[in-house]
Amino acid sequence: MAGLIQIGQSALRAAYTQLQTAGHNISNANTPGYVRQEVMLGTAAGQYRGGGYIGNGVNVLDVRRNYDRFMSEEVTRNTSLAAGDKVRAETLSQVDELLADTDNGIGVAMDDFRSAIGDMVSSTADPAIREVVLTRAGALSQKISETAGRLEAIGGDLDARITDAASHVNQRLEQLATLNQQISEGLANGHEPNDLMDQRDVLINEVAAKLQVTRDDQADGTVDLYTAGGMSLLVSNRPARLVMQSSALDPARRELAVVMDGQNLPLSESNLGSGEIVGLLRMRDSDLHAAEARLGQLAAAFAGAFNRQQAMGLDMDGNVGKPMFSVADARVRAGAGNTGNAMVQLVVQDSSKLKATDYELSFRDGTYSLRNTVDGQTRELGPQLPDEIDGLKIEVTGTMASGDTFRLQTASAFASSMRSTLASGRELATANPLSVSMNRDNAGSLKLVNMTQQQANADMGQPVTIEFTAPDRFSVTGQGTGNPVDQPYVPGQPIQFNGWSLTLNGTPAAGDKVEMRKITPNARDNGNANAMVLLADRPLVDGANFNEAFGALLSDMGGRTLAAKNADSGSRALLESSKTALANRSGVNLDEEAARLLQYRQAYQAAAKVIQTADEMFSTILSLAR
Amino acid sequence: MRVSSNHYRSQAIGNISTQQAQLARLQEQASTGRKVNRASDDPLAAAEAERLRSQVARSDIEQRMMSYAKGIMAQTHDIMGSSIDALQEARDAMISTGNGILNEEDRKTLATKLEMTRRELYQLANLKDMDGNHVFGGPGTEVEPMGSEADPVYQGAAGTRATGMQVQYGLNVNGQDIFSARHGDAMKTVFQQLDDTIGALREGSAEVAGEKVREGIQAVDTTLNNLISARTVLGENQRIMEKRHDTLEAGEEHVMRRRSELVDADLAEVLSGIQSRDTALRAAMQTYSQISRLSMFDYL
Repeated sequence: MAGLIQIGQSALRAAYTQLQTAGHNISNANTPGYVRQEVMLGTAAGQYRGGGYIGNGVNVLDVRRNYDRFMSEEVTRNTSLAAGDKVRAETLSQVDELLADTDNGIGVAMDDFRSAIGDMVSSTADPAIREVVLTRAGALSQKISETAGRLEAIGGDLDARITDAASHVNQRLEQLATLNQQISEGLANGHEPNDLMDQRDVLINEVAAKLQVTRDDQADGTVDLYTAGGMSLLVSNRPARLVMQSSALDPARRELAVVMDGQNLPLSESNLGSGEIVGLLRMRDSDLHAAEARLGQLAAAFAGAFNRQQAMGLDMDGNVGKPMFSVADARVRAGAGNTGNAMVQLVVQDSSKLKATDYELSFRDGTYSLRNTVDGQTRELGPQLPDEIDGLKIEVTGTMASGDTFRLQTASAFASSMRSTLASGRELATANPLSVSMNRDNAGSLKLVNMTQQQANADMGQPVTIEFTAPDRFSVTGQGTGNPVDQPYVPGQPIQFNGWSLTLNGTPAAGDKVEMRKITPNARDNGNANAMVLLADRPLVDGANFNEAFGALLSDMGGRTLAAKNADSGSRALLESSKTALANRSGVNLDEEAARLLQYRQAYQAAAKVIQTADEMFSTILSLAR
Repeated sequence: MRVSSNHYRSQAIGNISTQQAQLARLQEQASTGRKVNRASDDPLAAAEAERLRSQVARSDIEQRMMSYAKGIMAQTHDIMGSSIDALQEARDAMISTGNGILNEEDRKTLATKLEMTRRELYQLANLKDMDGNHVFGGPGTEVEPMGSEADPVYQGAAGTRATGMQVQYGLNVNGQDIFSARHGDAMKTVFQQLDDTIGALREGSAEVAGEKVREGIQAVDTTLNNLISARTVLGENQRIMEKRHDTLEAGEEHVMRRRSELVDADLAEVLSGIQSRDTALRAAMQTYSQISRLSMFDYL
């Protein structure tokens, strides 16, 4: 009888534990990371009596989590992937939106500027139109430098978000270290502390959302974490710390490092795997950098082209045109670990050849190499730097030591402070430096076809006389280098001197003269203005024209954003499906729990019935004895 | 298969918000009328649209230049016409009395007549167009192109003033090309020749006067020929410009259409998309709320 009561009690205890667990499941149905728990029952070993083994009731063996390690790790992995893709799509969208309003964009500002120059070609002497040209030059410069400023602000934002994410990871790592300790202590009782383990998985996923981790489960129940590149982030109860610090290669650049046991190991984007931090770093170092470089390339090429054209003409007061735009200078930063005393200076020699990239110059074992920061390509340059590379002259003074590096911030620097620099519309150099005059007494049929200034030249404004010694020969007199004497004249073939090019038609008589004269002031000659309005047709941005270069910025950023958005929705779908698989295995189904409640309630009632039966039997026996 | 209640709900909500996001995107297309609202909507189309827009802008610049040129050319044309008329009158006057049988009074009358014509012609030769540029000033001068009244020789440079992009539209004429011609060994302007004629009519003998009148007629004829051929060239240029204008407009229309195909939304398509998404979203919401009302706990 006592046996029956005990059996009933064990059943009662088991049913109660099951009811408790179902209640626990129901209460945690909405708790993130909660894994449904189940009571493991086992029969209590039977006792041998004469008639065989008689059962002893039921034992609660364990309360176990409905956990699947592989599914859970799949979720962790996909969490990193999705978080990295998501943040990159988000931040790239900012750049995309920044450039989205094409009706008020840089392209339209360039066209408006060109349109004003077109009006100036027609009404060259109209001061109002000249002021409009300057206003639009200002609006364009502002648009470009503002856009550069916005990109820079996005970059600052990215740094702040990386720092935040790193400190988020640091907090989680500390909590994980404590949990590791508690779990290994809990395990000492022989049972898994289920809820602590759920908590730990949640925290691991939170870390993984920021930075991809590999987990290594230890026999003592603790979990070690590594970065995708294999650096320790958590060993038992010792957490590492992520810190933002300035890079050794480029002191102005902030990089991420892992500090553990007093060791400081910088992380590079390439060995980080995925996660929010990685998405942010990729955005900062590759996507945003490419945008800044393209914008800077355009700004420098645009300013360079117009400044060059200004220098080929005369303004309303007869002065050689001053630069029309200014852009920021290229910047050079020496690596923190340089041991030589070399200094590097950059000079833009041909703005139309500038590439949309910055560079890393390094010197090793007597030879230079140059790495493009945008596409990562490295060129070996040998022991001597070439006179010009990608439109730049790199000047080195002092002595390089092997291993020295320099960060050359070229394209990404230019756009940041683009300005329109002329004070008055009078300073627009619309006129050719010289006018062509046919000598009044010419007897031949010479006619002017055209005269253009092709490059700036110290002597371009000097008066020059072209005298025809015969119908097919001429000599040039006047200040300039290497005066051509007794040259063959072919109608329609240009005569070039001091940077200008003169095309004549017709046949001269011997003694006929053409004079290149400076007529000042001459506000009405529009020769150089015409050259200005045509600049936008020419391939002055590394083979593309201005509008094409802007279009390339648009499509590059649009393409990156689109790819990032697609990656985002792809990895989100992947994460969703792995989460669904895990949730369907480990999550709580309330209807199921309701059914179980019913089942356990019945079991509980049945167990109570067993005890009641035992009690009744006991009473019967007692009444017999009475 | 087990289904986690919590996950089921968040998934259903996720699906609904995805559908809402797609609806919002379509709504954006409907409200902006464009399917490419940012470069990422279609990177290649965005770049192409940008290129096409600047093509239209370029064509607009050229058209503005043309419409400017049209006004100036018309003025140049008129002033050349007036100059032709004035010269024609001088020529008629000289021809009608041109047999050398001139008495002194006739000579004086003719001189006065020629003086007036010469003054008129000189004024015409130094006229400015509505934009302040000399009609006979060539590429442009700040001074009177035909010099002072007393010394009427061309002061400007060779060539003419023109506007345009690659194609240049000549706006005016060059005074030297029109008014200067070789007489014997020396280059003379028609003004100088007329001055000579007038001087001879006033002071010279009938014989000298007759000679100078002949020279005057010759100079006037040369100038007339110059003017008429310059006016023909101008007219021809105007015609070419009209044609170019039509070509540009047609091209612009073509480019605009192409751009519109690239970036503008097909409203009918967008609206039907909105309709079908709207239906799908309604269905999702309705079934979700129906299904989530089902609970085992109601039957406990």
